[in-house]
Amino acid sequence: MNWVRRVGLGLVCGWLLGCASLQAPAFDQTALDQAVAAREKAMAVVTAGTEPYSQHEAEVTALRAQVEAAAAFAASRPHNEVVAKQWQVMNDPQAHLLGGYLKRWQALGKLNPGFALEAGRSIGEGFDKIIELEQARKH
Amino acid sequence: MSDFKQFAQEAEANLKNLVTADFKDYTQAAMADGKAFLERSRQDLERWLQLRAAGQLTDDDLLWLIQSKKDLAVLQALKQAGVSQTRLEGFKNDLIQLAIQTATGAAAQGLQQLVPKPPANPA
Repeated sequence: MNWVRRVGLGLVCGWLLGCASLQAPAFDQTALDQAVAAREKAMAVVTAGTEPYSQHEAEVTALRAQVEAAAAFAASRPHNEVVAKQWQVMNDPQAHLLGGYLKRWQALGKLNPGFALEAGRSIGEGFDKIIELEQARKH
Repeated sequence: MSDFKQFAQEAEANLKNLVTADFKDYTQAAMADGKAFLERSRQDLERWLQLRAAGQLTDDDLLWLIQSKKDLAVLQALKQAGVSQTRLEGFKNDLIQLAIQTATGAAAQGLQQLVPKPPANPA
């Protein structure tokens, strides 16, 4: 009976596709909220880069903790390696986004206005890429 | 044999429609997003060079900002990879549904062949 074979083939194909390793995390509102909140806090702190670092050390410490919490949450979600890597780059003091900016500010004591403004734009753009990816997971 | 050919043709047509629906818009959007990133990077670099020439950026500032663009390119690539991952997950789910629907359509056709046709009314 040919139709039995065709039905069986279709169901087997469906089962095989279900076992494929292509898995993506579902949209997570907490993750999106964390990214948006971290961006807002980061922009406020980065703008203060033209002032002495010592006057803003507590804010920087709080921001670093907030970003590390968001990064840890991203790393805890299954199949979320891509976003975890994004947070890693953003937070890395050896890179040239938020982590690198805070490190440079601390090292130099104060940053010139032109640099603070332009670096702030880059940092904001970086956060936008994390936010946009999470938003893309909404179906 | 003709039943299998019809099944295969139907499955192929449904698959083409599925691929077009799932990926055409995504491909265009990904291309546009990539082009927008490159254009923004070009504009940023031009502005930074002007700021350097005006003395508002030091050489170290300029170098740091250029390197920030490289890091942003990494984030951009990661974003696209994540979006692709999500799209493929959706395509996989649609493909499973298509396989089941096509197979059950063939099963219904097969069942119809098993049911004997009622005799024609005598004249």
